[in-house]
Amino acid sequence: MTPMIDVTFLLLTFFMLASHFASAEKLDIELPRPDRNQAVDERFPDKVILNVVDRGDDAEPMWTVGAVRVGSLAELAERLDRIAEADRQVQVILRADRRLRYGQVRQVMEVVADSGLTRLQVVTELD
Amino acid sequence: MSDHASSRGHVSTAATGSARVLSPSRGRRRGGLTISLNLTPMIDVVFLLIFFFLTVSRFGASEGVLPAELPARAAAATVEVPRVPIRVRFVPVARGEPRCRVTIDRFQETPIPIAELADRLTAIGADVPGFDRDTPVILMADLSIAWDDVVNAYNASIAARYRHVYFATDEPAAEGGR
Repeated sequence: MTPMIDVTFLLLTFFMLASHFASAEKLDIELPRPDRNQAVDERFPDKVILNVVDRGDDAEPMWTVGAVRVGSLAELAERLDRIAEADRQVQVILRADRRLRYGQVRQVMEVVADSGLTRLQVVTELD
Repeated sequence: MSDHASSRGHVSTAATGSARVLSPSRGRRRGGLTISLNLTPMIDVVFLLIFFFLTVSRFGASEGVLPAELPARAAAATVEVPRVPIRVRFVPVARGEPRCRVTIDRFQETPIPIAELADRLTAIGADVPGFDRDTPVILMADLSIAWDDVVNAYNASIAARYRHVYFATDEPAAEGGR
């Protein structure tokens, strides 16, 4: 019995240390990987997570606000307007796929800025 | 005095009335009784914890953020840049190269890898009169440039300790950024 308990506790310790908690708001995205990354692991109490998912060169990206998928940039603007009405100090966490074109991300940044939200956090992969 | 063994191996002793677990092969003998610890609930809990961590955890790289600030109403706004800026331009990626290169107006006309941008910007800020960490850095990216490259250049500007970094396009429309 003792070896099994040893192994079990080892497994438990491994999972506790090596895992990050999954969040439905954070889609599985290939994030940018800059050299000499200056990004910091920071938590924000008031935030809205925007996911921009690459769907190939010929297709528009997929956008989500948190876990909720939005069908168009107009709908995204609508949602962000509502968030900005409630609190303009909300941090916008931009999780955009590294394979996207700058233009595809820029149009999202313009929608964010148009809503009146100015605090943006660009998410990258940490080393 | 009669010991009554239950189906799960518990016995009651007349002396204490307490339940003990019988383990014929292991455990400590005390007054004719073999006593051992019942580990089953602990193992249940540990397996539950493992199951919990297995299901809710995500493996892979962790994430960090690079702070930026957007101008309100970006589509219409053109940010006034107060000083002579440093303009970084992106040279589209050549076949076989994983990342595009950059040039810096007036300072670096030959394209260099983005990995060298931070050192080049640091040198400009330190050595060129009139340029310092408050000089605006404008990232002039064509809309077809990979987002990864733009973020990499933005990160390099932050690594070079510049305080005002702007995203821009080659079209003179909107400038946003840090």
